[in-house]
Amino acid sequence: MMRRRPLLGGLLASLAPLRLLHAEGFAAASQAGAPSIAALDWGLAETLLSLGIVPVAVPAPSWYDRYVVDPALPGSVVDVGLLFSPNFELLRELSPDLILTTPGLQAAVPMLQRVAPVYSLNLFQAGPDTLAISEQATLALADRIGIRAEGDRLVGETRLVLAASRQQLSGRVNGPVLVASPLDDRHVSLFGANSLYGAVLRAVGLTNAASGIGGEFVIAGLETLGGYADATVVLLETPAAPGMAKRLVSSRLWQTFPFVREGRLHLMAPVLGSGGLPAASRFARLLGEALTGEGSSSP
Amino acid sequence: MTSRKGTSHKGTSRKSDARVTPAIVAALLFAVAIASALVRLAELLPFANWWQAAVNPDVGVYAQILVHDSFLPRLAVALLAGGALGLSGAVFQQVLRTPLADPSTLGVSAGAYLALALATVWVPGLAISAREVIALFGALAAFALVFIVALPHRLSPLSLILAGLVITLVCGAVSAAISLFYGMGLTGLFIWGSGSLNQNDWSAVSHLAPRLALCCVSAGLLARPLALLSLSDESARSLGLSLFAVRGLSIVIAILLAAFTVSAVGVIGFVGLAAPVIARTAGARRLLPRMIWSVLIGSALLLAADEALQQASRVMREIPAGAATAFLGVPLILLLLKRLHPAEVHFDLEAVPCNRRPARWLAAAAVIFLGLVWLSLSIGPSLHGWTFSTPAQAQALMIWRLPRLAAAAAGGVLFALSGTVIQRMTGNPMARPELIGVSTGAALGILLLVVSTPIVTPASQLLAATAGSVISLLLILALARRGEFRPDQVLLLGVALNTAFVALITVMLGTGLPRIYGLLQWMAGSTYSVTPMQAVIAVFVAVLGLAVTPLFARWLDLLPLGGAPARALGLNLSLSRAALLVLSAFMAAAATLLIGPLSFVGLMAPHMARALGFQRALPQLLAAAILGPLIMTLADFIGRVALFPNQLPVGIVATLIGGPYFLFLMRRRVA
Repeated sequence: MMRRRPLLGGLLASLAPLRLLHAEGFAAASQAGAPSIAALDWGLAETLLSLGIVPVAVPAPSWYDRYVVDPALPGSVVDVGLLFSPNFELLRELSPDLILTTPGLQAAVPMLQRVAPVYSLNLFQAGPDTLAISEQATLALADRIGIRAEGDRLVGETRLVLAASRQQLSGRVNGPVLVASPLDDRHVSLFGANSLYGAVLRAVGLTNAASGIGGEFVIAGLETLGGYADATVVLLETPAAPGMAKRLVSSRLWQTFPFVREGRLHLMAPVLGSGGLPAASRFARLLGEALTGEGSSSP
Repeated sequence: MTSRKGTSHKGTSRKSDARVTPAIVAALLFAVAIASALVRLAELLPFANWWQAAVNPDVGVYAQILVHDSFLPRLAVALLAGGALGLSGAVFQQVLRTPLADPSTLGVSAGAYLALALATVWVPGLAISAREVIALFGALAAFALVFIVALPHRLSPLSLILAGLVITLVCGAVSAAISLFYGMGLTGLFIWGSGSLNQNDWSAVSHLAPRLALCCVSAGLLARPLALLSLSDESARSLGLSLFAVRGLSIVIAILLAAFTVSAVGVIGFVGLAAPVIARTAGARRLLPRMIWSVLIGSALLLAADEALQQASRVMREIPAGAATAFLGVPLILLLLKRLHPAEVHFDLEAVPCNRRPARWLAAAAVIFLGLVWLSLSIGPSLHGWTFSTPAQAQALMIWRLPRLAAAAAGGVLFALSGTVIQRMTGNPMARPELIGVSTGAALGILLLVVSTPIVTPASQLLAATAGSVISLLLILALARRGEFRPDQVLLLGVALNTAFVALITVMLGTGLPRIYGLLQWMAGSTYSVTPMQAVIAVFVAVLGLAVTPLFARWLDLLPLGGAPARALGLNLSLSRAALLVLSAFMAAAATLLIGPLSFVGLMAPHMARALGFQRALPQLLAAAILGPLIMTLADFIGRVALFPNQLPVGIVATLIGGPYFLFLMRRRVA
């Protein structure tokens, strides 16, 4: 197996388990006196984990498990309620050293500040340079916690993963790639250039078939997929509609789509669309695996 | 396509032939829609292949399958759904005797939505595979509740409208709570809620067509007796008509039409309202022609709207048809209000023996309230289970528990005062502050703010809410002045604003933009992030309301006597009603800012005060001002601890307490 895989692909493959070990190592360290941090957003939580710090509290962790999947959240993390209304009393009981939020939780900041210092940042911002913004935010976060080296490592690792996928995919995909996600049996989200997925497509050297989409994504009727005649389609499963991607396959209209007939359809596990660098890595890795048909699980 | 022979119709023969007729309206809409459809079809497929694609498409050619399995069924579904909603609306408007009624008035859409939301969360697999059945079940269950509540009132129009509204609000509150918990996971549901007509096979059409046809025939058979319903109850009864049977049957048919449609294509607003109104305005005065034209105009309207949206989607993101028609409906409702003559009797005020010991009762209520406050501040779950804090420990928790409790209680005071004023002013014990549309206006203001700017601060929120409530207040004052601020008219205005608001929220949710979910929190009436400073301001405003409202006690004692006696006692009706409306509206707006647009406390508190025997204005105001915060404190406590660490917004809990109370009252009280 190894002999057919490009060098960087092998490197990528070995990175994944390594990073997990890394996180576990720091989990032990956090009990020994690493800062205790509450992350009030899933993107922040996954980034914090990848920086080697296990957050003490995350809202709705069961949904984190379904949307983010990897890096996995340890069982020690406390559920602090809903995404837009974390429980103040519970946070006070946990008395973290720092609370991380996104600007979406602006209204709660005055009360959160009574618990601990609040650091508010956007890891994901839809736009043409999503990944650059995400890198800067990650480094700023690492600076704030005082682990700049970890921040540099995460940025470097992410670039490596993207480069590895780029190499793995180079010459393997003809034509543009469309990233879609089913919402129900009649509608899909199509992701444009300003989305996290669009940014990763660019970074790994693929053309986004939905380049005409202005915002982050649009919701469109299923039939519009047929218009992307020469595209390779990546259908992201969503935790919201489990099994929907498989269900679509049974419709006659679906069977006539060029990418279905010509075998250019790839189903993919969920990736948090509003995540930070770890989500970008995960998408790049899954993309490489899906489009080349090579798993990277066996080193 | 429709012919022109409708022009010679009897109902319009009085008028000159140059006038607009239903046939012209329908023909124009159809012509535009079909022209647009043909243009789009020509882009998909060469003319030579049209017939083949329609009848026996080549499975090897994508464009042919697209036309056969997507393009054509979408046209058919638009025609079927539009026609069904049009007919349903025509029947409802006849039975309920108001042009403001539409199929969603009786809770059909809200019930279907709630059923689907519950299914999506609990049995996602089933929600996907059996969507129609679940939605149909929800729609019919909601209507069954409305029916049960309105039954003791012999299905009188007002009882149906009120029960429908309350069930819509309660279902909406539960759906909102579910959305708060599962926001992103429900995008599919939100799309369904905004009424998208996309199809990818003929299943919806073949499912709908026979059912709708059956309903249409039944409705046609009922047209004659139904026509007599436009007479007053007394004269219809003297003609030997079983009012009850005709009303019940017609409503069931109209409900079925709406429920089948909703279950197949989702929530489509205003077509059911607009089609019959257009038919009537264009000259279809008699019922049977109006029903027929409502079907045709409804079909044409929805088809034209959907075509317009598909043409527009070349340059912008596609908007679901249901959402777009809802927008069209708002100006229509405002136009309609000018010509409204709801001649409906109110519920009689219940004769309750006067309370002999008001001071003792008030003191008891105050003690219970304070006890509840103490309990709520001391008890709460934590990491290690439930804890009861000693006063010393409670002091440390005060900063977390007191501000939200104080804000909720202050909101309770304001809604209670506002509700007492409205109920006394309108002489209608079922009136609620939300119904005058002011809190809805405030909510609309915030909604528009969130959509138009990326970053929302508490200050800009306050500004937007105030602007929204003032504008809707001015609107209501301007429109209601014509009718000397007739209470029923003001209430109907509020209902209309509410309808428009719900439609707008649905559209926003359908966009799938994440920042809408943060907004849901406030919509649901959350005091979650109230700061001590905000709480102080809230209490101050509540105290102000408590100080000012009793000054109007004399007017409030006189107005329930009715227009003529009040005037005889030297009251300027327009002036006093306008002043009280403004007072009530400002208190409702302030309360909305605190605890959101949803809550029944403004209904419950004044009503319970009356039931306890506080008849005169001043004692009733005082009693309501104690009971209101009592209910809200309880709701805040339940919301904080029931699903710990998750927190239910106080507005939702209050609605879940108040809604059933309202329905129970309605069911018991026989008009």
